[in-house]
Amino acid sequence: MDSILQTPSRTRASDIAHFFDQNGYGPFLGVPCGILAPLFEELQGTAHGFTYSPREDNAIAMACGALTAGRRPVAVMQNSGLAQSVNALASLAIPYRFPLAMVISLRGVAPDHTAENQVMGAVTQPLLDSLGIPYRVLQPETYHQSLQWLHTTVTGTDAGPAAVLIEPAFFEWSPTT
Amino acid sequence: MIDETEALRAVIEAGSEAPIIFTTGYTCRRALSIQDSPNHFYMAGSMGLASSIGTGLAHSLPELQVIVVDGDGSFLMNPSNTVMIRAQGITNLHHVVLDNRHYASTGNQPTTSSHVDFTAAAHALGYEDTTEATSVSHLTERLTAAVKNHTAGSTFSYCPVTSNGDAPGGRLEQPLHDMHRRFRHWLSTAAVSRN
Repeated sequence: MDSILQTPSRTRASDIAHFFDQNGYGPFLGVPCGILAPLFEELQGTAHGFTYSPREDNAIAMACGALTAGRRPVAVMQNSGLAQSVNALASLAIPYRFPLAMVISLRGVAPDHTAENQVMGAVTQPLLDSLGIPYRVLQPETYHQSLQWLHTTVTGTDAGPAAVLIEPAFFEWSPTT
Repeated sequence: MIDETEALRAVIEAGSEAPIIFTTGYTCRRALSIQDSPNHFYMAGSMGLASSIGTGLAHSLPELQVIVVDGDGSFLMNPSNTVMIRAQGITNLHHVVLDNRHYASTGNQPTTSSHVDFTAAAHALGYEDTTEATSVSHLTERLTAAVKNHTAGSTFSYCPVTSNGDAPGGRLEQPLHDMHRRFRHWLSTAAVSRN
């Protein structure tokens, strides 16, 4: 376990990108977040590359279009982008049952004490609960299982969107970054 | 000026072999009342995101020609998606904006569309081929060429329209996820037949 606990952020980002790649996911779409910077770099390096869109709800709707075509997209964003995307989820992804895999960062969670992110940091999980979107928070010891959970969830019959959440410490983000 | 229902009828007829994404509100309802078909995706909510769905689809299935029908209000709500056309090199998306100058389904409040040069905006943001359709037959010609892949790339057709006051027709009664499943099934068949 010790060796896993000491896994640097680069390895975790690489593992996640590899997991998506190996399980047929792509395209990868979204808007950047500092907490997720190592993951964006790894996803850019896959055969799909990373599609940066102007807004997160654009990325979610593009992902829905890719899902109609039988693809397995992943939408990656900051939790502020989740706030931007509530209507895309509430009136498109959820009622139409788009089995969308999402990766969402948790700005506003310790050690991120930036004032502008505190509200969204506090409401991200309650918001997902209210929307009925299942999620797991990735932990250094168990993130492989959580990724497998995400895969099982979005490939289930009549699945809707599901998410994994990433706290600042997961990729060793710090306020001085 | 073009009658709104006639413009939609022209899109549906020219696009009978193409996936068509209809924006929210009366556009969906009028399209549904003209003719329901498995190649139609009725975007009942998520105003402003029809072209994003179309972009994701067009990028994933480049062998198909994808049609998006927006209104003036829904295009103006989210023109930012337009930048993805050039950014992703998408050549098979055909965007129609029907401008009736109003938010029709919410009580006919005015939009800001009279202040906007739609074809210039669309060109600046990423569509090489933009035009104002001056008649139903002009729109039909544009879309027929697009669906037959006779255009050089993605197209943007701006259509000023008037409504003749017809009732918009009923709302989609089928569950949204069933309509989605039907659209996906149609797409899988359409994609296979072109391979």
